[in-house]
Amino acid sequence: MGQPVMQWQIMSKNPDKTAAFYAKLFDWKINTDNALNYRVVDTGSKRGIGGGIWPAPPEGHGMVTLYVEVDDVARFVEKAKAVGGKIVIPPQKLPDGDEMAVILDPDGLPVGLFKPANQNKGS
Amino acid sequence: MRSRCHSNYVFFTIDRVNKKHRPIPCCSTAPSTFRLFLQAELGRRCAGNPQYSLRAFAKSLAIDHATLSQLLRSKRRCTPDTIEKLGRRLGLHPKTLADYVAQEKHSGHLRESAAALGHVQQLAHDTANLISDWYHFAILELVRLPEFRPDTRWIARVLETTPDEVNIALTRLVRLGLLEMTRQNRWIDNSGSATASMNDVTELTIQRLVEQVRKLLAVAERVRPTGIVTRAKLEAKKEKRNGSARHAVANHVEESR
Repeated sequence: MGQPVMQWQIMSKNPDKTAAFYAKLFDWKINTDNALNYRVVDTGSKRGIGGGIWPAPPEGHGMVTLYVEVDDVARFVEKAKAVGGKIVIPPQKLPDGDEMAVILDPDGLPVGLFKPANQNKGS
Repeated sequence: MRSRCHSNYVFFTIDRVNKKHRPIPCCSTAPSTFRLFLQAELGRRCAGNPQYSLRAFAKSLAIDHATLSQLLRSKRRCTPDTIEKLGRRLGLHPKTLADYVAQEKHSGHLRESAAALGHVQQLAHDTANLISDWYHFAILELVRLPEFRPDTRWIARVLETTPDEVNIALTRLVRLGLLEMTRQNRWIDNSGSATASMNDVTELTIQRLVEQVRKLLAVAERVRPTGIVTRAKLEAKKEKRNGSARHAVANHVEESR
């Protein structure tokens, strides 16, 4: 299956304002009907990848993180450590069934790893 | 074959007939970085031959012209391996080549040190916020309840705060290793036993911060005394002077806020 980049995530200090901005700008639809109240972004196109908006802590700064889909998050976390990465968020199973982790590459840039709940269903 | 002086340092040249490289003599006034050296060398060749191009330079170095372009524009890092390879192709004097490689390795350590410092600063922020914002502990308390629902909106309603505040707190707790989402509907409080108090949680996170600061010091020791190293050493001295690791970390947290 390879390891494609399948999702982007904007971390925003003002997620409501950010969501409203992109909704107005691109007519993106924002849906928060999920257990983590995650702002899932529907770009309205079958092309490109989907995304989401997550709150950034007050002491942090806004950023965009890319999420790479893998078939085994824990295995890739170990692999990341072996090749010089660091772990920010160890593998977690989210309430909606997705699995995710966040690593730092050697330059300190965060990269997400995730396995969607429906991966084994051929999605 | 001839050598040529340019900008106060001696370049090597390629004998256009014999295509032999002549090592560049070691010289203290050589460009300060390998990237600058590459730029200067390309400039020198272009000055000598108006038809000379980036592609020709790349071909002489046996690398892709796009890669060379990125190296010249600082869009790609000149790794020690790259410096070795290109430096040899350019016939750099062994000592000059060794100096450029050593410089790049040192820069790599600095980047690593800066990344480690960033990690510790994040941890310090997380620890400081954990101590100051009551709902972190409240979330851990909720997780232990049989009625607990792994749902941000439910937690926000119970704690009378916003889902975004809960999500920021959840991120911190997970990052600190105090909370783990093991299954779709099961979260685990890793802060200790059911009788764990706020102080226990705080102490645990401070211990983790101390571990990270020690790791940072280990990284910092590998580079020459720079601002980062100096600061780390000062903190180590402060820790020793105060006689209390916890006190030193509290100071570190305070400074990082």
